[in-house]
Amino acid sequence: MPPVSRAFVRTALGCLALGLAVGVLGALPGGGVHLPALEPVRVHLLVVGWLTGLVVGIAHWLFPARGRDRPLWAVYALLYGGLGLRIVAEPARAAGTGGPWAALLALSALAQSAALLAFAAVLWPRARGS
Amino acid sequence: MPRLTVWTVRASLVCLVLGALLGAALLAVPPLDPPVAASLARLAPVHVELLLVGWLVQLALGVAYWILPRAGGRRPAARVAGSGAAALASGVGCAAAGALAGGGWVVVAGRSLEVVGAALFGVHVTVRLSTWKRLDARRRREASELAEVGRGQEGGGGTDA
Repeated sequence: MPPVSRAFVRTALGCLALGLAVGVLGALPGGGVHLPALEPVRVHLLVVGWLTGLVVGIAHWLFPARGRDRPLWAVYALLYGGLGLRIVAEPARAAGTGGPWAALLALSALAQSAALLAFAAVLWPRARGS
Repeated sequence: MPRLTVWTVRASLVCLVLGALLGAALLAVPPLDPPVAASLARLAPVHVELLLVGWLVQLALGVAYWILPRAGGRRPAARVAGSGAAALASGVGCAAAGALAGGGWVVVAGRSLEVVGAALFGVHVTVRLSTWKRLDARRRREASELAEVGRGQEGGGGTDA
């Protein structure tokens, strides 16, 4: 398994643990921890951080004609960098603390969509008949 | 990689790109331009449909068709899997278009097609795995019979000597 796939799988497992822990916080007796925008953060930790990260890492390992790992490292940095930014910026913006949170959320959206576009571009030619 | 997997993976990548771009718009635009937020909010179900079913489910089924064990080098009930993949892909398109138009029966039809697609794929996997299991059991039985014959001949040769 290439190092970049191992990094994806390990980070995906970290996101799974974090997403489940956020779910526990929200379900604590007495209404749970009241952080604004906690639910979208939890869902995206599980769906983007866990499921999509795991799929990207395993697909790079499994699909034929694996080239260089460098484009996948860029996907890794953009996907998890963008997700990390979202985890911080979304609750902060929803709390109405002011500051540059809206711009950071836009940056997070840009990073994550760039990561997934790059991944699709890398995987597309590798999905071919044998 | 079988042709069905190629098409399913590519369809799932198209859904990934569309869903990700839509998600980026949903995340980035409302804080910067709150009046647009309300009109964008109705796109959230399309984003979920494209990424959950169009991307993750389609990719998983396409890869499963490729890597699940083959029975005697073949993929039995391949047409059933092909019909399942077609139903799933058109179901995603229909459900996403319906959600874009504000819901209603188009979404119900799309999601029903998704159910039909998944069920057909389930039939394919069941047939494939049971055929593989039967052939694998026969192969093991024949191998053990051959080994027994070989041991018998070795034993017989030893007595003669």
